[in-house]
Amino acid sequence: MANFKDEAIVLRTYDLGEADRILSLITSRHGLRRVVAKGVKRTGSRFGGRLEPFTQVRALLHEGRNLDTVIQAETARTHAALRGDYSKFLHGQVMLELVEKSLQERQEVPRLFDILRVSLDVLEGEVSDPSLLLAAFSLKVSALTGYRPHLDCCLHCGREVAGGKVSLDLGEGGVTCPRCRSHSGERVYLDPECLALMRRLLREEMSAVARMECGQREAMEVLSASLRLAEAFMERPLKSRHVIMRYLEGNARRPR
Amino acid sequence: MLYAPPIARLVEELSKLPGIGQKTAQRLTFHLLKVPQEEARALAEAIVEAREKVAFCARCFNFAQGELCEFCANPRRDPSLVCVVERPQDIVAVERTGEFRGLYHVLGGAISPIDGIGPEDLKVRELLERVRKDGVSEVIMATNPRVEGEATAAYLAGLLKPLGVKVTRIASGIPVGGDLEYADEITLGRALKGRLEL
Repeated sequence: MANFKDEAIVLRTYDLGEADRILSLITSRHGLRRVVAKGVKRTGSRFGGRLEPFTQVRALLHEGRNLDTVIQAETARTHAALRGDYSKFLHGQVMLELVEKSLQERQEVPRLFDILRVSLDVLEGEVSDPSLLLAAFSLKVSALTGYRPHLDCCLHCGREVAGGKVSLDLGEGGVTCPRCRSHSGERVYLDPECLALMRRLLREEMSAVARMECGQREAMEVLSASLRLAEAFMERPLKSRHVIMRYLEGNARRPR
Repeated sequence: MLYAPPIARLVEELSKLPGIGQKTAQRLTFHLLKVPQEEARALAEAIVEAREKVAFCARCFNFAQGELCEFCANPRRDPSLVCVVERPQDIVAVERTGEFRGLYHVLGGAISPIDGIGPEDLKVRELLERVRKDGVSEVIMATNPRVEGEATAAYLAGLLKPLGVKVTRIASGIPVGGDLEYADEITLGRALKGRLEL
C-alpha cells in the first residue's frame, strides 16, 4: 500500500470513535475516497479546521485496503464565505451531496473534481441566483457521470416538443412528446420557458450561469426538476433536496 | 445455543449501545456476572431511574429532573442572557469554564442539509418564542465551530437580529498549549482579527 498526493475537496465527515473522523473526499486524480483523519476532533490536532466540508486541500494520503488515511493536509481554498451565508451554505451542501452520491467508492470521473471546485469558487462570489447555479451543477454532474439529460427533442421519436407543458420523464432521463409518453414512470411537467432555461444551464459555463436571472418560481421549478432527474439517475434520494426546497418555498411565501 | 438465554439477552442489549460491538458486549456481560449482586443491581436501577425521571426542560430543552432544568429553575441565573448550544453535553463544557451566569437553549443539533436536517428539525421556533417573551437582551451562539455550526449560527442570527436582540458568537482562536505552525488558516485569521491589547 503506497502513499499518494492529490488535491481533494472534503464532501462530508462522519465521527469515528472519540477523536477520529471518516472523511468523504473527491480527489483530482483518484476519484471518490473514504479516508480516516486520526485525532482530528482534538483541539490540538495538526489538521485543525482544514478537513471540514467545502475545504480544498493538497493532501498526502496513505492507501488502505478499505479506508485510506490522511497523513498531511495543506489548505488550498477554505471556501470560508460558504459558512457565514446560510443560503450559499445550503446550495453548497447540495452540491457536495450530489458529488458524493453520483460516485461509487474509488470511482474516477474526469472533470468532476474540477466542476465542483469551479462551482464552489463561483458560489463564494457574486451570484445572481444560487438556485440556477445549483441546477446547472446538477445537470452537468448528471452529464459527466454518463446521464446527460435529453432535453432538445422527444427522446423516442426525435420530434420537437412544443406547446403547453412539457413532460420530463425522470426514469428515462428526458422529454417526451404526448404521442410517445408512457403511462408508467415518474415525470414532472415543465413550462416551455423552464425547459429552455434547463437547456441553457446545461450548455453555459458556471461563471456565465452566475450572472443569469429569472423569476423565483421558474428557478424553483428548474432546480426541483434538475435534482429529481439526478436522483432518478443515481437511484437514490438526495437528503438535502427537501431541506433546500423547503427553504426556497419559505422564501417565496415571504412578502418582499 | 452458545449462552443461557439471560446471558444472550444481556449481550444483545449491550451490543445495541453506541461503540459497543458483540465482543465488547460479551466482555461487559461476563464482568457484570462476576461483580457483587448489589453492584449489578445498582447499575440496572440507575439506568431505569435515569430513563424514568429525566426528561427535557420545558424552557431550554436541556435534560431535567422535573419541568425545568437546574439552570432555568435557578433564580440567581441571568435570564436576559441566553447561550445557544447544539447538545446538552455542550452545557457541561460551558459550565466548566465558570464564566457564564445566564441561561441556555439546546437546539438538538445543527443544520446539516446533507443529513436531511433543516431548521424545522431543531428547537428554532422555541428559541424565537423565548426571545420574544422572556425579555432576552443577548443571545450567544455557542454552536460548534464546524461548517454546520457556523451556518446554524448565521441562520439564527438572521432571524434574531430583526427582533432587536444582541447576537454574539463565541470567539475562535489558537488553543492554549497549541502550536501556531499547525493552526489552520481560518482559526489563525480569526485569532488575529480578535487579538487583544496587552
